Amino acid sequence: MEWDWNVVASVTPSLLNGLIVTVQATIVGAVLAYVLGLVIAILKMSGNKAVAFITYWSSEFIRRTPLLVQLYFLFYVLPDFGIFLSPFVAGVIGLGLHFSTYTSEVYRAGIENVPKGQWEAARSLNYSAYHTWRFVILPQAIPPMFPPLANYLITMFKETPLLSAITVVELFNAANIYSNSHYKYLEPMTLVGLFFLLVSIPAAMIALKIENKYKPLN
Amino acid sequence: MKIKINGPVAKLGLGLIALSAAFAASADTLDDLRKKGYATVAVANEPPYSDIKADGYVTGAAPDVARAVMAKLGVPEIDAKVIMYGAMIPALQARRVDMATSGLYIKPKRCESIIYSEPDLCGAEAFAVAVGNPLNIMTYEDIAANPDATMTTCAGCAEEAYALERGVQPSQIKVFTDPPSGIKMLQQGRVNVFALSGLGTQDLLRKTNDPNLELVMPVTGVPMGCAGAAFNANDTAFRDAYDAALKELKDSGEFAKIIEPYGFSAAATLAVKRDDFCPGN
Repeated sequence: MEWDWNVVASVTPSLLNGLIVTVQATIVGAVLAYVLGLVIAILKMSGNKAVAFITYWSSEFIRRTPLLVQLYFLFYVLPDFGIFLSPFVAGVIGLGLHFSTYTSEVYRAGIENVPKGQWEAARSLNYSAYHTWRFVILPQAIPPMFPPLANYLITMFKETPLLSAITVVELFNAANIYSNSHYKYLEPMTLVGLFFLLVSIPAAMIALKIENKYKPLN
Repeated sequence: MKIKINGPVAKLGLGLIALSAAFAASADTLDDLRKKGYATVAVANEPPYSDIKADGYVTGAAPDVARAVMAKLGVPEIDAKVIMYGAMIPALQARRVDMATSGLYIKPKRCESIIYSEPDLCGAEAFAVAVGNPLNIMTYEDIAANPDATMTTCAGCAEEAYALERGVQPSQIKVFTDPPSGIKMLQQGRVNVFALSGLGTQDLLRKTNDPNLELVMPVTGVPMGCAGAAFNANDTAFRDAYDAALKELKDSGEFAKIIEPYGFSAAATLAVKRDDFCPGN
């Protein structure tokens, strides 16, 4: 098996297009995961028992089933119920929804880790609910959330090849389509790995910086 | 630490390794298969070309022909692996399978990488479209002429090449992961045209039994697709033995008895030779 630079030259343009789709899917999926995760975390802590119960079990259901199955469901089954999503939209929703159940746990842990004494202190100082959250709880709860949230972003990035199963032509699928008609796997798949590293290594370094910056003092 | 190789025992060991490697390289693939008792074949699960029953038994026209030929060659059984069309050639090159028997069309570009038996199955091409054929798609040129039209087929398939050669833009082609998913995409309106072999498309439509779909067959302007069993490029001896046994099968009339129940025309297949597609392959 020999490395062929001509293959590299002919496959790279379509891989770069695929990389753009991969990054887009990751970013949109992550925004969705962060926002939806917060909603889930809040609903889970809701005083209304029924709301908390339903949210808890729905999120457990999504978290304990494979993303690939969810993607197939969104893409192939939902249209039978009249909900028609394009491959990219279905992929981003699948990715965002799946990871929102993880990020919601990050939010929950962050808030629960604020010592009880802080709540009691706020109450004894007669702070309103707004002031308690805004000036006491959230400033202590949010910084520890950054490192795990950044790590989930990188994990989502690496999960995007699953979107190829629902015909999204992201980085991996672009390489696969090329390989299928040119019978070359060495160069395209090596390049896929390289392109993933090209994005994920700097991202991991940034995540590490964030982690060091927001390290708890004790 | 340096590894030293000396002493008579070590030398003998090295010699044996070299010797056995030389044997493995020169040994005939067919002999190995006879010893093993079965051949591993790649199939695509595209009835009627190849079909895997619920209990795992592989059938369909191409594997049935291969089974009969291999039986003549002293290999009593075949073991099938489902591999997408696009991945069959790399699988043959990497020797993950001994042969591909799934209606892999004989195409000049493929012949650069692998070798084929004489043709064993020939058929026309077909499209599946929405009933009434709203975009009036009869040929690949019709798809090329309508930039809004989209089609689905398998990655690396002959149909993908037909489309691209006739001016269909890559953005118009959405490759499916397996043929039934492709039909699902057509039913849901994700694509306007489903393109595949005639008999394969016909079989899928019969099974889907959706009154909203219809068959366009034959698609004109493309050659009849002829498939053969495919082999690793180094297995010429195996391929030649396969050809001889296949010829016996064809001459005895047994060949027609195998493929015609699946809807293939034996006459059409007997009328063509491998050299018509890939001279000197």
